Amino acid sequence: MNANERLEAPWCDLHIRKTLRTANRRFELDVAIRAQARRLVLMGPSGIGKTMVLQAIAGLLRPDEGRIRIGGLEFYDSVKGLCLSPQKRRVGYLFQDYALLPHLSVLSNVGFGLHSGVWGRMRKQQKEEAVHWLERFQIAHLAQQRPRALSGGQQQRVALARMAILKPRVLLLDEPFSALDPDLRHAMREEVDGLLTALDIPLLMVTHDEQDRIALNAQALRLSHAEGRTVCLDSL
Amino acid sequence: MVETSLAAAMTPLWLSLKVAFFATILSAIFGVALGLYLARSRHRARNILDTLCTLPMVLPPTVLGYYLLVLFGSQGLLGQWLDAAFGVNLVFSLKGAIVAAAIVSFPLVFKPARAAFESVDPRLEQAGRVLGVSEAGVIVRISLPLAWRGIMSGVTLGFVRALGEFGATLMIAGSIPGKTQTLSIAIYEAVQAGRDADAHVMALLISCVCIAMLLLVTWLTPAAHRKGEAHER
Repeated sequence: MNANERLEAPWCDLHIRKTLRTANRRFELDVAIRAQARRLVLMGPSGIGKTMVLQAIAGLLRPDEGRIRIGGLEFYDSVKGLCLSPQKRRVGYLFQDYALLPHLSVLSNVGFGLHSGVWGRMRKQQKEEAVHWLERFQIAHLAQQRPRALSGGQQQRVALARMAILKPRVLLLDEPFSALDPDLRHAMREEVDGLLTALDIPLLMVTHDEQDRIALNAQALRLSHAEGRTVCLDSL
Repeated sequence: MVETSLAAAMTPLWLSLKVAFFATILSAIFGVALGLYLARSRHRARNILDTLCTLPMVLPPTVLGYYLLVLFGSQGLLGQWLDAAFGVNLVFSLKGAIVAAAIVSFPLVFKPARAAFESVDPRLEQAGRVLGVSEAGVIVRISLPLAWRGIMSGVTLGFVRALGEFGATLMIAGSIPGKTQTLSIAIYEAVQAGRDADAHVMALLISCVCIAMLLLVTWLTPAAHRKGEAHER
């Protein structure tokens, strides 16, 4: 796919509606995004549903209605009754707290998705692949450690390596840099920038920080309240 | 004197251990499965199911044994089916004692299993799915290892309960020495017959096993750990 074709077909084309009701409040999300820019940041005040958009794309949250197309592949379409399982979507989703598996070593965490079944033991070649990604993120010396023993920045590298090894279609990051100190934040922005270029995949990132957008040269999408519901203002 | 009592206690102890072992396997398989289902289900009837399955814990053992007799007896629906299909008769047999002990210990297994599965951070399971791991893989490689200690403490409690089971076992399996007479039933019979020395030795024996098991439960019970904080929507 060359640059021109990319400009013609939006890689992210979604329109989802979801209503959540709890005892004393009602929450309505109505978001439409059609984006050609390969790097997007999703901004907006806390509690407006930015994470929900990522979860819907990853298949962790089923919208009430709408459709989701990522990279030309249909993930969800309420009219057709189509909803791909998270397993089939092959997205790289970075949870806010990384969701590393506490009972496994760093190496096993990174290689976790190489096996899809109940048998999680890595073959020699897969282990080498996992080590390669650990080296790529400069955490090879931590291979046998448990995630608990790692610093925040190291944990994030493990989580990134765990996604990258599977060659995902798209990178979905949920406030990846907010918990890091300024030096580390700067370093991790560069890591993510390098990873996006290396894998040649688009990015959708939730953030509060305008600096994240500038550092990654991304286009901003803003979620805001309108008529009591969350809508996306400047979708393309 | 003590030696002969000890020798006489060996057969009932062996029967008790056999019953408890197989009963625990049964209640562990079904208990972990039900615990997992209840922890994940959002179905409205799940708490009714939970209550129903807790019944064996609160029903008088004789009532439970009576129901088992009605169900599995030669006139009972399940009893007739088992006899016709497999030639198995539970009444006055060790299999009946095993089924009774399994049902009695079942709530002690599935309830901690449910709690253990519910304490697993759902985002860890979601992370597994996003990484392409199948539902079965998520259960075996994420949920089970993280819930393991809680499950095992329930299974151990269930084992102890099965070991001491008396009422329901007596109702369905009777008290046939060397065949269905487990330790707790043998103690009752010994006291009835005035064989105090035998009762003493057997009571001491089963007390020791129970204390050891409880220590194991304490060691296995997971320390309360902080659950993940509420996620931003």
